[in-house]
Amino acid sequence: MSTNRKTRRSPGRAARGISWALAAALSLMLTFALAGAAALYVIQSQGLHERVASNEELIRQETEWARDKIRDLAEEYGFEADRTLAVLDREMLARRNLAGLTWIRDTVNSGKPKQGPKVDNGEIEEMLSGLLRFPNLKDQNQINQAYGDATAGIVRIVGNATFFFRSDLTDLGLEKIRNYADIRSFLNLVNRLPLILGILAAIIAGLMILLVAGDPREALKYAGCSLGGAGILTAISGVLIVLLDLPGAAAAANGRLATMIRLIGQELLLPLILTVVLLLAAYGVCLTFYSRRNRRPAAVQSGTEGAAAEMPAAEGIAAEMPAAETSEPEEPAAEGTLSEGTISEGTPSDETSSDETPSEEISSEETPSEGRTEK
Amino acid sequence: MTQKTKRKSGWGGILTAALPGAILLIAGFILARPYILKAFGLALKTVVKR
Repeated sequence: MSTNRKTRRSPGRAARGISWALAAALSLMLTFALAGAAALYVIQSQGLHERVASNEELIRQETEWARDKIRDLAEEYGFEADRTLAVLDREMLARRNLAGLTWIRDTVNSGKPKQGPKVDNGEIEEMLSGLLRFPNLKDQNQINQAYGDATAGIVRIVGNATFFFRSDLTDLGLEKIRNYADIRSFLNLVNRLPLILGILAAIIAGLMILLVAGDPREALKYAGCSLGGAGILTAISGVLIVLLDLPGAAAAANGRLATMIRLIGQELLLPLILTVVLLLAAYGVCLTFYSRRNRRPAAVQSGTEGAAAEMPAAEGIAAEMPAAETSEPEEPAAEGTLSEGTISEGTPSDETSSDETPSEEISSEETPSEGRTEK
Repeated sequence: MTQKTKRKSGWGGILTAALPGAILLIAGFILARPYILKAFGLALKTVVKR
């Protein structure tokens, strides 16, 4: 019979304190990493851009805005506005929206100023060639002049309806910043921020394992709580961003931009909920493994770890025991019975919480548990 | 003689991990919200066409 005693120590009070502090830091870091990943998703995701660009509500708003502007222009130049409104084609507006979002992505990726999105104004001019009529004008020169001005005006209106950033100002701002800082390397850093934070999170998790006496399973508790904490913090961040009401703030500047920001927020809602659920599920899994390990009877644990060679059946018993435990997983031990998590009579220990892992402290000889009786 | 086992519910741990960050986020939000909105509004007024 093996008299193998476990020599693994429980983590001390200081180690546990530091581990909890690391867990809190890890939660916050994971939350920032997720926020960075969300920002990158918004900037880089082609699918998201396509869905936002072809959104019915956005296109309806753009159409209404452009219609009003074209009517104003029609009054000024004396052409028939209703005929020209056919130029506001849904597909064309969606293409221009996508071009605008692609311009933002390319500018963020390259850090180099670009003169606005690449759009084909020729298709608008082609459509207008059969639609623009000036019934009040008789002189051909006046008609030609008015035709040119009206066409340029409508092209400008359609452009402003779908792309409402002052690209000249953003170009100027980027050029100014380029004089002082290397935008490219900064953008590279921002792009890699989630990865960097992920690596830091792995280092913190490794530190936790070291602090809890090299026991990865003990570290599961801290890592699990970090993941669950990150889930809670992510949910809180989501609520705070909703409370910030960015679409409301943008509405004062531009209604279409407000709609665009709201659509992007809606696109992020489902991934956010899924992430929170996944993080809380990961917390549950970690805690389940951690508490199952602590609830496992000492004799079975020592049998599997210490005397596996001597007792081949111990593996089977160890496999069967957790299944038996699951029938009453959270029931406190009845008085007078020797159940999991209960310190047996004569065991010299003051530490009774599950955190202290009493099973580790007890040798196979000291515990008259089921493992021995089943043998 | 049996000692009663004290089992943590699990919420204690998760709250320990989340509470400092939550306080930081909420306090940061309350303090920085007016400035964020002001900066956002100013940036939009400068860069965005009406």
